[in-house]
Amino acid sequence: MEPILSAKNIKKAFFRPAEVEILKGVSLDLLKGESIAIMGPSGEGKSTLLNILGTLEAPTSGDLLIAGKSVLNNPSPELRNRHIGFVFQSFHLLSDYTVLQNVLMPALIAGKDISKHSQAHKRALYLLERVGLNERLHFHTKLLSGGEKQRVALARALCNDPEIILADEPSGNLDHATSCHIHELLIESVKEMNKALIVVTHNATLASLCDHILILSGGFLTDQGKNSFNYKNKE
Amino acid sequence: MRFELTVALKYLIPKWRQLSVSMISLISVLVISLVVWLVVLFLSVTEGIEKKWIEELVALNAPVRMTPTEAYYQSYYYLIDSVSAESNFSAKTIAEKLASSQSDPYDPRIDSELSLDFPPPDRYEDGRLKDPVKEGFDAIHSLNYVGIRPQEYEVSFGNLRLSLLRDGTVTGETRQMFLTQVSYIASHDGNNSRVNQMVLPPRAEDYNNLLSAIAQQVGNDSSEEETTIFFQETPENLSENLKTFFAHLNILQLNTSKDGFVLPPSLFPKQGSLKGIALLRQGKIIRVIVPKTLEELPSLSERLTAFGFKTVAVNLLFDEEQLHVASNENLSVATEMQIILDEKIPFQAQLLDTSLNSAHVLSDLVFQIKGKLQGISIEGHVHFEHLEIAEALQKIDLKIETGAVEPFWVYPLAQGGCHIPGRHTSTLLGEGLLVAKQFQKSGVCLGDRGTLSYYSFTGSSMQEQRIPVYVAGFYDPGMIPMGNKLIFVDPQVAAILRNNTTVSDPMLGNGINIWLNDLHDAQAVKEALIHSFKARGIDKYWTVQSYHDYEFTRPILEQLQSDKHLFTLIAVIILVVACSNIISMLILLVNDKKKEIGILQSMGASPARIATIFGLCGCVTGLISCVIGVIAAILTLKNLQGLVSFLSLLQGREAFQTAFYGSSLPNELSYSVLGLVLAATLVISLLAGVVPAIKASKVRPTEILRSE
Repeated sequence: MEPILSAKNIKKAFFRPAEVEILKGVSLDLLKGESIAIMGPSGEGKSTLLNILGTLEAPTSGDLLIAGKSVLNNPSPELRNRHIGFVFQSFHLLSDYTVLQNVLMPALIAGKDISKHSQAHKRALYLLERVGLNERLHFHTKLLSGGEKQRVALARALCNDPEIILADEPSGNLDHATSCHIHELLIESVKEMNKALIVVTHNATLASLCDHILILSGGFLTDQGKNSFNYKNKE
Repeated sequence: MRFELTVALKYLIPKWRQLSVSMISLISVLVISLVVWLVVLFLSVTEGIEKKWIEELVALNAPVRMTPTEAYYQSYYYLIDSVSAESNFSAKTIAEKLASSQSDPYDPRIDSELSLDFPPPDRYEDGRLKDPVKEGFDAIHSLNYVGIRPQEYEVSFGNLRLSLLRDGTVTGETRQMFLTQVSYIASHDGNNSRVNQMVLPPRAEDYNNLLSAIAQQVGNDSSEEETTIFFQETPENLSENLKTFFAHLNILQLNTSKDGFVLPPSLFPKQGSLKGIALLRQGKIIRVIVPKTLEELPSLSERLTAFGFKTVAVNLLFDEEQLHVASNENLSVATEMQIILDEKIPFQAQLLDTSLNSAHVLSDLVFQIKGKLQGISIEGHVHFEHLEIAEALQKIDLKIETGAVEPFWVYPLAQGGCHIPGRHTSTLLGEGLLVAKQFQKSGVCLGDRGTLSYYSFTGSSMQEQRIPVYVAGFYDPGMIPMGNKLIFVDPQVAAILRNNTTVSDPMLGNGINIWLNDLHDAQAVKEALIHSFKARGIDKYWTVQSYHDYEFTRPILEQLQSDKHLFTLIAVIILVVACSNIISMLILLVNDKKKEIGILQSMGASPARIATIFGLCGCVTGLISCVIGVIAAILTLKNLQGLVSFLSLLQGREAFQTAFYGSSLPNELSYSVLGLVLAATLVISLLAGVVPAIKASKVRPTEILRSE
């Protein structure tokens, strides 16, 4: 099966204030429906790698293929809109909009019809029901709790039905109980909808729910296989 | 674009959280709308004034005019009439040339032989003599422009002498003044509807003067010389004249005249009292002057005392038609005591038709009047004596046919245009004149009579000839130079003068006016005519000018154009300054919305689309301001007169001189100005949005999203 996302020998260096090569040749293949957790110490470049995979940032060298197309030479925002959904640690919801409007935003950017009874609208309602927020549709996001915000973010990431979900510490700002709920919701949704997931996390529980655990250390990725508890023990 | 517009509008809604951005955007909107308001208002008014001036300029001088050239006057075609028996050995005017059956009236068998230096005839290849007048008219008729109409005009001059008969300072005395002016006399084209706009409605004093003019026995008052000119009035004539006068006029209000109105016993109130000032002679009350209100009593008393009268305040008590005069000093009352109403006391009035039918003198007219005097109502029938017309309404019957009873004043015609009443209306008055407004300042009123004199050869001597005339209307010459000296008369009168005088100025004299409905066509008509004349081989005989070329309009029009361009430039500069506020507002907005920009980019919004959002913000701000400014301008234009009055009050003098701007400023919204301002504001505000938009598009989402 052809990977939906394929990173080949990705290198990333920062030149200011001094030259530091943070990624020294990272390669990764993500298949449809597969979930990967990337773990590793802080400052090793996990988020940078995730941004590169999500085409928000360009690598110094290497190649990135999304849905079989090389995207580094012509990084197109439309491609990001269609194939990738982001879930951030700080939720990054649009504060002036309601829950429903936030979820519909990727569809609006894609130029889809978002009026009532439209496909996009129906999907947004379905997703919000799926994350248990169907009674908060018209709430302003600033009125929501952290957990609720992250659920909105998850629904939003899934709105345009992308093949890939990239999550950066999705439970980093949440308490333990809420974190667990979000983890379950994320993994369940992704499995249910057959999405590929890359999640950067320090949370071993979340990592254990993924198909693969990769460790980013010293600028390289190493595959830790399925049993993530070893990693936790090492820590 | 839906995404960009949705987000842009969301950003523009004022929020407490973004107080600084909201305040700046509010100020931007205010400043731009203020500038738009000012620019739209000023340019609309300027354009209206320009349009009005141009219309005034061409109201008397058609938008396009053809005048014969020197070549015309030196041509065989023109000169041949003076040697042809067929033409009575006299040169013909353009109208006569147009009406004549032959282009070449010369008959070698009858007429004397032409001298060798007589200009040779200008013929077509087929031998026909070129007829510049008929060909010229034909060329005009072949053009297809709305309302195009050629009219031959003649301007001559004559000496106008008006005799102004006015009431003297002493009751019953008549003063006579003379006003003499050498004037240009132009034939009035009754079909020229533009002149209508310039004809001023008669004033109350005009009606009064006209009324006394038709009632006066001219022969008794004027010098012997004048009586030979005016027809003697007969009572039958007056009766007819009065009927004509009131057939076209509804009297609504009469005022007591300055001589004071003697209150007849029939008008005494049934009950109540009036306060007045009594005049004493030999200790007896001979007259009681009653003012309109009690507040006027002290000033009336002062006025009468200043004249040297002995006065005392009295109370007139009315009780069932019994009159008691009560005063502090218990003065006795003369048997012939009169109650006189002070001047300018208004009464609603209605003429009794029965009195009109039997009137032989003015005082035979009876009016039903109704009014209030010191709060007491006065009502009843009065004779028209020591009363004057204060308010009247013309009964405009557009179906007046020529020859039927027409008013004594210039009146509008059903097909547009207006008519100057002529001699046939009244043998008493003479020919009607339409004179310039300036005459009003010299005290001239409708009905003032006089003569129009010119010199003509009779036999061997030069003799003064006179045409009896009277002032039948006033027009506002507006900006036209020499407008004050231009008098309009019936074409027949103009023709008499024209035959005996010559005007050297080619712009005056004889020519063809070409009237158009749309002034914008003038230039095209001029060019089409020149082209057509060339094709017909008569171009050397005519000078064709549009109103842009007239000697007296060119400087004004050029000045107006440069004023307009200058102000448009200033307006654009002010708009640029006002719109620069948008730049600061948008830069603040971009800084405020950096996180959102990052989020939107992570969701797939391209930098170009982000830039569009902020560009739209600038545009929408500009558009909203524009709409507010335009609405304010429309409202101001609707209430312009109030604003002008306020300005005048503030300055203590007239804010806009009526001589230049007319009685009211034009208050029509100019769509061309609206288009210009809308386009300029949108373009400038879009440009103002460019820098912030570029700044927004440069935001790197990873930096923004990472920093959280």
